[in-house]
Amino acid sequence: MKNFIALLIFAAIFGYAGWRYYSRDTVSWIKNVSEQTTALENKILTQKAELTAITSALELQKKANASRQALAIINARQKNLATEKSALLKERQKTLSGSRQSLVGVVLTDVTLADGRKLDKARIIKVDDGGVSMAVASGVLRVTPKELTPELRSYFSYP
Amino acid sequence: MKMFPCKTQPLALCGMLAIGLLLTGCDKPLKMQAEAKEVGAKFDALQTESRSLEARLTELRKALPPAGSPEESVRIVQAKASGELTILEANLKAAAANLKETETAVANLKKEIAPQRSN
Repeated sequence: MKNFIALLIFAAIFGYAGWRYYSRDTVSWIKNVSEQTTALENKILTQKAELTAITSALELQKKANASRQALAIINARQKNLATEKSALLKERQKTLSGSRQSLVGVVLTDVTLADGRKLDKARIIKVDDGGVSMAVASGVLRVTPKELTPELRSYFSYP
Repeated sequence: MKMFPCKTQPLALCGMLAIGLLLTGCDKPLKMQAEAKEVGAKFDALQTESRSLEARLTELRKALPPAGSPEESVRIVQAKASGELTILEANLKAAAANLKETETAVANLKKEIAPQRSN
């Protein structure tokens, strides 16, 4: 019985010592890995910050490219419209010239100008963008669109 | 009066103490082992995450212009894109307004010319 108890005591002491030794190694390993983990966590934080910065910079670049494309589309549309506008203006000018030309020779009776002047008989000689030239009893009269009444302006196709 | 009536009594006491010591000694390393396992797993997971982030960063850095450092590259890209974007947005606004104006002018001209075309 004595021997058994002594054996038990020895086993306990050596066992405990062994565990302590093992624990000491484990503690040191855990400490080491924990330090590495902390360093790795810091590295990951830095990497994430860099990733965010790069992503936002590239996003901004992408946005700028999209804006450049949108601007190119608008400019192309503007160019087309400008061409169309120019063609329409020419067409309007041509039509206006035609319709005004057809008025040459027409004799207007009882014409009242915007300032109240009255023209008894006025024969239209020329109509252009600058105004109307008319032959009246006293000679040739040049009337600008501003001097015409709204009805006459419309008659001569002035805005 | 004897402290220990039997000769084996102190030994038995020591034995009991030894068993207690053994049991408490066993429990601590087991806990430590679990902690070590947990710490190791966390470290491995972080290492995997770090590698994946590094791979992504390497890929993204290719899109940046070469400079002294990655931070410098990012700063250059950000400053350039930001400046461009400000100018482009202003240009876009002006171009959109011009376009609207021209569209209105063209529509008015078409409306004006339409009756003359039909004649």
